[in-house]
Amino acid sequence: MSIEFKNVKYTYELHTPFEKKALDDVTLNISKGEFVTILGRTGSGKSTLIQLTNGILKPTSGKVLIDGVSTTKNDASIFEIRKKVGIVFQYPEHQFFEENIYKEIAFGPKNFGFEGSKLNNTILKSLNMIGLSTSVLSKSPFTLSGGEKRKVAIASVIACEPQYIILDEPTSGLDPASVKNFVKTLESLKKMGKTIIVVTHSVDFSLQNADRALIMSKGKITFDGNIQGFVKSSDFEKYELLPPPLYQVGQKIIGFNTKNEKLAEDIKFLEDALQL
Amino acid sequence: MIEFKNVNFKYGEDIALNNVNLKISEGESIAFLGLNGSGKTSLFQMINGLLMPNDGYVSVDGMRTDEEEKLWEIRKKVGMIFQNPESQIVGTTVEEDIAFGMENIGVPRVEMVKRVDEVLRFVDMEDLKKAEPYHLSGGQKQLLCVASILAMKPKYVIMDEPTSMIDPIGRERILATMNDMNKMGKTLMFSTHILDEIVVSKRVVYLRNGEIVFDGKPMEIMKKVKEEFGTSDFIEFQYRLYRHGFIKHFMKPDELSERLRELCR
Repeated sequence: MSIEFKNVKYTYELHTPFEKKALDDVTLNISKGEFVTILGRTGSGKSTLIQLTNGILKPTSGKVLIDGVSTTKNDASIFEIRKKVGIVFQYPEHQFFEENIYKEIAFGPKNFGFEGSKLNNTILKSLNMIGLSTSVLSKSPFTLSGGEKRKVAIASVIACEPQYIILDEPTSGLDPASVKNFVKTLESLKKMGKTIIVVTHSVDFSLQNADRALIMSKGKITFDGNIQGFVKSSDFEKYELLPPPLYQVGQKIIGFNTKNEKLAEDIKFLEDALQL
Repeated sequence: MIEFKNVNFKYGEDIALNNVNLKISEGESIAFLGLNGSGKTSLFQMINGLLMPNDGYVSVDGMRTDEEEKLWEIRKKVGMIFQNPESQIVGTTVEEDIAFGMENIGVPRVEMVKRVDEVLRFVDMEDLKKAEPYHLSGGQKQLLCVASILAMKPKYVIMDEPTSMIDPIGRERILATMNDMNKMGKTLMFSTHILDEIVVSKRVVYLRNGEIVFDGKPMEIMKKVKEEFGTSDFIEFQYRLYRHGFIKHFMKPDELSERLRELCR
């Protein structure tokens, strides 16, 4: 049970003057139950990678396998793959179109054959997981605030009960309280045995939540491993990442000494926070 | 000056702004914080008359937004940059996009050409003048929006979560550009969910359920909203230094490292 990439290459507008290599020989294995974050600059290939996981894009060469089944075929197997791999795209609320939130969330699961009480249950369950009350169900999705819209969009993917949940920048535009709430949702999904992949710009988010981080640069995976270890090595520049602000300070003041007790205390706080 | 006087606003039954009173003077740089749905975007959209108060009024340099014949003048003074840069890019090349807004407000052709170069220099994108906006990175698109707005020479610039769609390296550039804009005399209002970004402002306004519950110095906000809004290590660290008397206001990482170097000497 896993997502496998075997020597995957992907080129946009192949055989045209606009040819652009987006993924370059990516090999990867994400097992059931893992929590993985993907970091990297804009244009490094993150979105291409996730669109390959459920066959929206097909590899130019190489193979993508979901639980052993290739995404390349366009028969019934791709339907099964899309049921298994749920993707929450960036700014998913821009894709709303239903008149009320119940219908909005129901749209996905209905397509995958949920009906009657099974449909109703999955909608209520996903709404509860994301921390919205049932009173919103009759409202138009367009009347919600930005954070609430995002929650509805995530609920609509969870409601399809996918095994693999992939989220592209899910926290951008969310306030800190909503981010906290969202992290709780991810934790309960993880407890249910779901595999979670989060594309993020936030090294902090990755540090606080993920077991494993991938860093991408120019279509390649340049780092795959434990993010805590990565942060300590301070190799941010090499990986085209910007350290969180406190790290930027921490890196510059290593070895500073002071006789002022209060200041020493404050610097100790910084070192503890960074686990230097 | 921008003034909100006893402003109330509802979306249907939902209260979006509740008795808002606010004065913004020329040259200020103000960060607006608050949870999703607290009214930041509604407040911004009141300033150039995209939304109208149910009660009270909003005025820009003495002109009220509910006086229809003044709206044209108001909108020339108030430049608005929305969260998603894609939603306001209209040109097929970078220079066309910048020209679009100027054309609308009737800037003469010769002047337009001059201003395109000027604003592109300001955001450091001169080499991308002929580029298609479609091919720009998220950060570059946001900078293009900044350039297009600046070309219309607004006095006030409003940015609704300008960094939320941008990667950290792009964000640094946006924040630096915002700083530069303020230095060149623009009055700047922006909203953010990233607490670390309040270090670029001199005043913070915090909204809760459509009400202004805090309006003051960034350092003071830590006492008020930590519980609700949370905090960050970076801000906590600086707040400690502040309480111990080592710094007087928030600093960016570079400034802060420099200050610590001095203190440890």
